Amino acid sequence: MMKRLLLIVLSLLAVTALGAQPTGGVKGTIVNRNGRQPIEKAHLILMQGAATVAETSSAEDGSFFIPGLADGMYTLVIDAPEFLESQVQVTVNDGYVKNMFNLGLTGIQRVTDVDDDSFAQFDMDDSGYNDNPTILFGSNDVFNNIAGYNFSSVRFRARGYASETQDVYLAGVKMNDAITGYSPFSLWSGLNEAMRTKESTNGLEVSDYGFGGYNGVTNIFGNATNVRKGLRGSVLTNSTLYRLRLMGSYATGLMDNGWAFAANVSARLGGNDWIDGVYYRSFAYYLAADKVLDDAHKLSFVFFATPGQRGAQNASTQEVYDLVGDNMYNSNWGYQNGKVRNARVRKTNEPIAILKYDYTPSDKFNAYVTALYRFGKNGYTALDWYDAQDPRPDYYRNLPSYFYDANPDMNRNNGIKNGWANEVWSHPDSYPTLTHIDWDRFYYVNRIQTDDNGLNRSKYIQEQRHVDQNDLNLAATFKYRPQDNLTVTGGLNARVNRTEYYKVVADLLGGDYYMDIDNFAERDFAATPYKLQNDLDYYMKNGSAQVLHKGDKYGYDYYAQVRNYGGWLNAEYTLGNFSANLGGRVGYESFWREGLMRKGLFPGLDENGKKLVVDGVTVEPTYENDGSVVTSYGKSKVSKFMTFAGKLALNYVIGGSQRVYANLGYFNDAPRFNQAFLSPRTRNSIMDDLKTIKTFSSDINWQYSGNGINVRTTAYFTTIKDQSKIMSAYDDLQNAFSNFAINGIDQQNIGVELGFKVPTYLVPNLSVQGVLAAGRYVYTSNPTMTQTVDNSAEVVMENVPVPYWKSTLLADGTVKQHYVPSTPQIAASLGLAYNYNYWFIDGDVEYFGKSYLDMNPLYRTETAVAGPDNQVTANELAYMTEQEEFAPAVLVNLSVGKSWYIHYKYQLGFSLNVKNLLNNRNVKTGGYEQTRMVDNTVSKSQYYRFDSKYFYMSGTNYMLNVYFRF
Amino acid sequence: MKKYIYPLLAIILLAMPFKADAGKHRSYVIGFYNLENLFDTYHDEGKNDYQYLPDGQNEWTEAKYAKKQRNMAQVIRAMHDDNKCWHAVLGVSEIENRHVLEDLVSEPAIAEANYQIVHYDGPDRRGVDVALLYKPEIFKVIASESIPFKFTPSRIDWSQWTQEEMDNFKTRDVLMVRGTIDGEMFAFFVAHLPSRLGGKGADLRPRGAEIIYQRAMELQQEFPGIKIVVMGDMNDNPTDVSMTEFLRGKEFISDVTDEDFFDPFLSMIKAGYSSLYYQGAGNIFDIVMVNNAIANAPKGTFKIQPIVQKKFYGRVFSKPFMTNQSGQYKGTPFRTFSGGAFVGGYSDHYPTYIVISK
Repeated sequence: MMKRLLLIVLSLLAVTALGAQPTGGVKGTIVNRNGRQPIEKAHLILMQGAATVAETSSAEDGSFFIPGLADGMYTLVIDAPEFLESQVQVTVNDGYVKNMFNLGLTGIQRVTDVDDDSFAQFDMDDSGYNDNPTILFGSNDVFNNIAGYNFSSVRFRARGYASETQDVYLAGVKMNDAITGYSPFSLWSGLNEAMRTKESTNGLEVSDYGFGGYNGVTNIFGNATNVRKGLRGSVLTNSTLYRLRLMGSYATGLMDNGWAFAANVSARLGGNDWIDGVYYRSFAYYLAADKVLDDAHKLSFVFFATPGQRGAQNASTQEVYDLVGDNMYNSNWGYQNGKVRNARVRKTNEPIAILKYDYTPSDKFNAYVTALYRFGKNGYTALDWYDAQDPRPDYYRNLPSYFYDANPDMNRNNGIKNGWANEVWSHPDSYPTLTHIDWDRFYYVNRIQTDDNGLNRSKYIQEQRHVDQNDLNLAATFKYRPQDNLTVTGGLNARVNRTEYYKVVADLLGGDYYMDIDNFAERDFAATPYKLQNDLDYYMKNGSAQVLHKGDKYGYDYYAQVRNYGGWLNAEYTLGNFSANLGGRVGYESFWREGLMRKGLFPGLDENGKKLVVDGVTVEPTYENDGSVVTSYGKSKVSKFMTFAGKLALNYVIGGSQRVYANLGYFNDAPRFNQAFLSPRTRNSIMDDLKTIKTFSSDINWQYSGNGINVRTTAYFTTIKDQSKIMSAYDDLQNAFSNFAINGIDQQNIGVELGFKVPTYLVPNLSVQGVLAAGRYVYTSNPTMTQTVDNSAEVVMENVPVPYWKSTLLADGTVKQHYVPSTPQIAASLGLAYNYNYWFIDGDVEYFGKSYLDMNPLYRTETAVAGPDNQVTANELAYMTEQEEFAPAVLVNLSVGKSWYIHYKYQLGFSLNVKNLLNNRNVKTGGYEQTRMVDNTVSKSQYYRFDSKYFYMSGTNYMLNVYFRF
Repeated sequence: MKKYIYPLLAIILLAMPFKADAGKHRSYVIGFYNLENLFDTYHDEGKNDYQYLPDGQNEWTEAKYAKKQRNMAQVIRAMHDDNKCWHAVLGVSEIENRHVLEDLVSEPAIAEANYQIVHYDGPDRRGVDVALLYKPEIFKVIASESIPFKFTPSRIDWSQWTQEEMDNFKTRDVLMVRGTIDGEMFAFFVAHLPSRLGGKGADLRPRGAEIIYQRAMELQQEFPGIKIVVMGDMNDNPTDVSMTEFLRGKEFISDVTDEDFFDPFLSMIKAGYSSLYYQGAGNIFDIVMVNNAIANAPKGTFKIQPIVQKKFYGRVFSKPFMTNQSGQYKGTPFRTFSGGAFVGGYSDHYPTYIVISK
């Protein structure tokens, strides 16, 4: 403010001074360049053209001042004995005195000779440099830019790989879930500003942050200096997830004192236009500080969490969707006192603390060490009930098909009930208590279950299933460039994860208490009370099951313990236009289960290894295949695996804008906890013959980048062998809840990718862009399956083949191939992108095809195909083993955005994305086959499949984001 | 091999009774470096340097200024260490005033080069100018001039511009410095042509090139045989019309006549070399080109030499320390500011240079 006032005053003075003596001038100090000592009595001549305007000498302190100069250009000639003469161009403008600060003179003796340092010693025969062009092929991959954003709505998976094969790092630590391997993005959702800066590699490429697998590595930096400086705010509304997102961030950037601070907060609130019951009430906060100690040492601190809850969606059968006339029907919610309540709500609060030390002693070597700790609570609610029918509205016994089926063999002939059910489901709004969860009835029922003490034992409750992680990670990584054409990267990592699985009573729904007993066990073992106990130790101590109140732990409680230790090394060597990468990784991984609750069904032995005596009866233990006792309590066998992997990459740059490169990789990876334990909620039993997963992956690529054109094409071939899987489901043939362990799943993914962006040349700033991903992802083995009964560990089938898993040889001799599900195997997009003067407009048309439903192995067994009569017919074979292919879909999307700079300081902008403009509401994005069969048929000659369940994509939807930055 | 030459030469020199440079192959390095907003921390009256003040948007404090100067000197020093000699002539752009140049040439890392300065305060609104640094024992300055940007006369159609727009348009002057090296007459042009922001710049750069070309042809008339080097941040690639048509920059020496320039960076951009990146795509805006008297030099006079891979006559100088080693801008020049925050880097451009030799 003062400065501006001064300016005004000065310019007024300048105006009034017109016509009077000029106010302009020049001042400065003459110094010796070498040491900056002032030079006294230097002779100064100020000239304008050839005319001398003024002449003066520098004072004792070297200073000079020539006043009274009119605006214009002058030459100041400075001369002093023993110094080179210097000519300085001086411009006097607007009547100001020009301050030249120090004007340095160079001593004559310093420059009289031309020395070796003055001219180069190039010997033209052998000298010169072997610099190679650096073309940024890696950043902004044209395929991923388009596919990554546009294809997410159909759950597209690059090259058909499972999402957990993509390695996601935060601050140099691999964050994929220790138990499941899942991508961890939800841990920081809502912190977009804080987590914006990232670096990604593609496919088999090795990253600077980790060795990676065959599906790319993304490292999110997440520290304070990587948050954009300044204050930012945004408001976002969205029609498929939540109504409102408010977000703010502030970052100081690196300050002169070496500190940088950053904060980011957000709230995501409300429901959406498409799926009832789905809502967000999620918050997020992030605080970070960086301290640069000196050029070599830097410390980073980060703490963030995204506490909140959101309502979930559930899949239903097509029968339900068709009857209610809406593929977005969600069976998870119902009315309570007229208000919508979701039975399945995910509640999370998992803070993450990071401490990182960066060491950069030279530009040839850098290293960092990160310690990252994830903790807190993560759970979701679900209904639990006792002595009552499954309360979910779309339970199969509530649907019209359960009462009548045109096929007489199904023995469903109740036309009247079928009519009623049809009436109800065709008018869901008229019968909300039947077509949605009937919360009011739960409360009513729970309040009339009065016991002898006048208390009500709830029949229906809401439980909360917890998966609470304690995840400690250490990673040390280095990058060393001993010479310009050789880079060596490597690192060490350790992970200690203890995840507690348990459930608590979340809501008694009007009742006073609930009992900690296993109601599935009660059906089979009602006469043996100890077998019903979820917590046998409590029962033995107190003589009865625990009376549960809100917040009490019950049902099951165990630790999943995971330990991973590993190291990796990679070298990249460049020779001319050719470069090669060779790298390897080794690791030791182990996991085990540690039961914290002794379950009545699998009590095992006591702490002294003796058989337990309960209610005066000695409990005879059951045994695993290896002779060990089946137990729910204590530490299981430890599964240990040595893992290793190797990668080779070759890269050749052609001219200035093309390259050809190829990658090869072999991976021997450990299975994960969730692929190993048969029934971790009840016991320590682990899949026999657990094998490492062996993956071979290769690709060859051509890339063009130049003149505004970007193209990448890739062909890839990958085989994945010895995968395992655990499923649990009610088996109608056994009339028992069962565990299915599937072993030896092999698959092959082969395909091509093309991504391009090319200027139209006709209209400036308008480009054509598109991608094509065409693959063939098939199963190449028939796995084996072991089925055990959950309540008894009884083995129903042991290592039986699943002969119709990879394909079916039909009676007419044709082979029906079965495919890896849950992603379109053909995806294409073609669109236009316009970008000019802070406007962007993108529009595209997309096609998705050859997407398949996830298969359950039971339908592909000989037992299921043969039916009760044990005779395989052509019809049974085709019917039972068939895999559903989803109908292809065509979608149109449009995005538009613009930002404005205000006074070069503030930025205001918006972006609007409209997806599925054609309002196509019949696009299946996923689903699953139920692992159940109808067996009570008339003919007793074949089984029937239960209807599959599906998820659909929403119709036309939008997202509008308005942001302000300053 | 190269590392032995130096001590070997020293021994030979000591043994010889002649002057050090007698009978030797002399190669001189001539280059250009865009110093990316080399501002001091003081306000220059009448100039829009408010971003670069201690209380300005960039919080341009003495500490940041000192780091920036150190970095600029480090790059110049690194080129010296690679070439085993200092640039004889180095054109620079995006400097605020004489003061920052005085500070730069006094930086400890390069002070020993004793660079002298030719600089004029130009009319640019932000107050950034071009300048020439030279070694006084090699290059003897005779004259210099600051050539203003004028719209006419030109073969460019200015019908899209109103007279008012043309009157108000201000950009950097082109600097021309004439002098001798080893008795041969040289002229160096240093330019920073109008930027690509805003749609109308497409006509301004050809006009800037035209101004340089016209003056260069006049000098050739006036001083037959004069050797001319045109360098600068052209904000256009060697492949753009401003460079190929208006400055007549040719790709091959054999195609160069007295009316043309040889542009060594034309073949280099085609080979994929880049001196800066914009949205992930490489460019060479930092161009050094020479006239026919250097391209097809008479025997025994200074001639341009191939210096990269024995076939390229120019060099884009980049070292890992000048380059982002991680993050979304990995592989691109490590800048002073990123996303508005000071990150302590160098410049958004890499320097480029050529070598002339007798």
